[in-house]
Amino acid sequence: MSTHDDTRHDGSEWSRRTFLKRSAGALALLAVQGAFRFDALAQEQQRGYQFFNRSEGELLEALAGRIWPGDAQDPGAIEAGAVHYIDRALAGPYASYQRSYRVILHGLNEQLRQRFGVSVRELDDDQLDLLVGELEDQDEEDDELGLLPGRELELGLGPDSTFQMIRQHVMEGVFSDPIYGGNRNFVGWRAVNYPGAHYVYTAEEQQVFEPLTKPYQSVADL
Amino acid sequence: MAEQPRKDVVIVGYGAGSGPASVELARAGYSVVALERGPHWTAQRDFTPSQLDTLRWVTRDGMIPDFDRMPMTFRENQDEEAVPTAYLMSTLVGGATVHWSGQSWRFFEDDFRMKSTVEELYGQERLRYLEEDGASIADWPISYDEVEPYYERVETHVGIGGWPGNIQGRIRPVRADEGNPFEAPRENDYPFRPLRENATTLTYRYGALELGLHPFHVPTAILTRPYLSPYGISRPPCTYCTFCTGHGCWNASKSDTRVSLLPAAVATGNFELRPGCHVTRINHQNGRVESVEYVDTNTGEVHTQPGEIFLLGAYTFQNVRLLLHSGIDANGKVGQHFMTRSSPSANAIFNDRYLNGFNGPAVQRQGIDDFNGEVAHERKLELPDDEFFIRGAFMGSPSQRNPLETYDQVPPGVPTWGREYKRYLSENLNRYIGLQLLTEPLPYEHSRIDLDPNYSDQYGVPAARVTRRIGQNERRMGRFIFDRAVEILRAAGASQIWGSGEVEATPSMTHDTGGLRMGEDPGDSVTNRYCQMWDVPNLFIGGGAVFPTMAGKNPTQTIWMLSYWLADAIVQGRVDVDDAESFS
Repeated sequence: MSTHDDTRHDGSEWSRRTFLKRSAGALALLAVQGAFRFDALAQEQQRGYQFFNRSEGELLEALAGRIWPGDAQDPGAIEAGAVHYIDRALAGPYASYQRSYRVILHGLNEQLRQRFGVSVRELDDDQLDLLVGELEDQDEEDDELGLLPGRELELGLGPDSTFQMIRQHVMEGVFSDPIYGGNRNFVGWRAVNYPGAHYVYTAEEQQVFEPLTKPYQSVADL
Repeated sequence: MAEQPRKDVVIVGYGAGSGPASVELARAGYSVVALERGPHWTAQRDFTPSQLDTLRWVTRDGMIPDFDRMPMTFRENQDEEAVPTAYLMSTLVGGATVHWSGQSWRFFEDDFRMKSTVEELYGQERLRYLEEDGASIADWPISYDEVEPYYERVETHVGIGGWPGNIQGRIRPVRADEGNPFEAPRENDYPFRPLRENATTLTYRYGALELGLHPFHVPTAILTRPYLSPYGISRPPCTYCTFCTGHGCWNASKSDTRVSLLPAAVATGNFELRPGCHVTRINHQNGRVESVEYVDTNTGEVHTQPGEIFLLGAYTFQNVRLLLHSGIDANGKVGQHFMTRSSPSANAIFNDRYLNGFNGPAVQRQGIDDFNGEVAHERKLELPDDEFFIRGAFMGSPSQRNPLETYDQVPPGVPTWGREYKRYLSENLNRYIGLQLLTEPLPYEHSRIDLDPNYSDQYGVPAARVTRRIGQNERRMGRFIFDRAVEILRAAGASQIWGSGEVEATPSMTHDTGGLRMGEDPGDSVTNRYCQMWDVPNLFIGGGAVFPTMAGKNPTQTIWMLSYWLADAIVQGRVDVDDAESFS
């Protein structure tokens, strides 16, 4: 487990920034165009994904695991099944984001392999953090790519950059009702002590200034 | 094209602007048909238990139409090309009241005479900056005293509860420490009390009291006891679930047009609701509407619906757009003086307590009006010129803080991903308060809605194009109100406070009003005091588009009130639907 999650935010770990610029930093999304081939999309079905191929799912899971980190004791996005949530959303109501995910994830994987000879599985937590940080820093360039359906229309609703899109969807996979495929065993809600779908709150429950103890419950349990 | 049987009254859009009128007109014996483009969802069949789901209804805006179906464009200045945008408004029988918060109140007396009030208080010289900005403030053609009984009818018939702050001039007559002491005088008490307190409201209330302010529990369109309305509609009290704003109420405790009014209209036998019927044009001749043209989206068939009296009850943008598209704009005033809010934000966490802000409906809320309207005019008189502003804001403490609605609420300096982010949310999400700062926007000459030349909907009707920018008044008010919010949060014991008093122009903030201004002069307004079009006397406007000025308050009760008001004017013959200028 990494102990350096916040290094990129205080700006003090310049050796890591240097690593970023030399390796992961070169993962400029602008370079990915043309590398994209539909026929390269593997049909391997892993984890019951309906949209992602294996390498896409692995990469997104790695990113999700750094956005909302966790382990067996303190479950995070991976344990919540956040990528499973995103996969099901992309196969349904978020279909308009399919192209964005395909291009972005395929491009990142290609960059990792072709230019650095690594796959996402070989990156450690610190390197993954730098990768996520680079995605965050590249927001403006992503806008220019016009990859996001929301951005093209300037809706003012929904995510407006690659990083914000991935982050928002990961957090939805952590905090949404388990009926959507994420928040498994309520691990997202447990992290913030949110009991979920309840018809009733009593006056006693509402007027305490202490953590509430109420069973975790899905809309499917009602 | 099939022509439907003629009706006495034809309603376009079934929501707050048309619901009360539909009941009153049908009860008076008029045959009424309501054409509503959205579906009809009933509480039992569609809302239980599916509404207890934040992702579907809030994150994914389950009740709000797709952009492509309801096009709107936005620009700040007339010389710019407007770009497509979106607005947050539902498409269903009952309209936005189905998924609203239910914070419901009367406007102040001086909201109805805003121009006169500020001129008397501050003088022309102090208000010169408003002129420079093109502000088009005005008085309403109606007074609070005239509409007071109609406000009360909304409270009793639709179902609004609260603590009275002013009954016939007696301040806080029921509880010395509850009710809004600055509210306009009411003839009678509310029919029931508002929601109870929770950790969030108690915390905010404490801060306001510490500063000598006058906190009160906001009046709520949510039942707190079993209630039988004068229409004979019985509904159960709220159970304090947290799926309220953005959701339809699974328990039918939230008062809305669909559960409080529609059954009363249906019970008359004179009312017909046609869901899924999208009106695309108003057919008119010689200053008289003959019929409306609509697409029945269930069948794809196009129909005309003839009638005697027509009431537009769709949303502000749609009402304006339909008029312009139909060529109804004799004096060139349709679409002008559009208003929407640009509000500052103030947030806090409290290290010494849990607030569990996720529990309870959003309007389980304490608030203050100490800085709303002109309540604080003495203090404002002492502001330096470059900070001076007119009007103000309601400032309240909403509940319903579910994780999907608050995971972005982190102070500057805290990362938005990673272990530190997770640690922060785990420790603080249930210690969070984010205030509602309901700043009053001003109307401007340059703020308007017209037809976009580039974009149109699936029926070829041009998109509504919003041109709006804000002025010095909004900017100064934003900063002042933010500073007051910080003081309250600090007094309440906040450990960390963040937000911004800087506001920017938006095309829509769900309180979109103006555009079809009511007035006394046919040359300078769109409707008369009864929401009747000056140049088309059998056409009435339901909804906030008729507001000449806005308020630091939610508009819905005033929209319901005006719908009762215009219906009474029709039933009692105060208007002549054949000749607009001849009414008394």
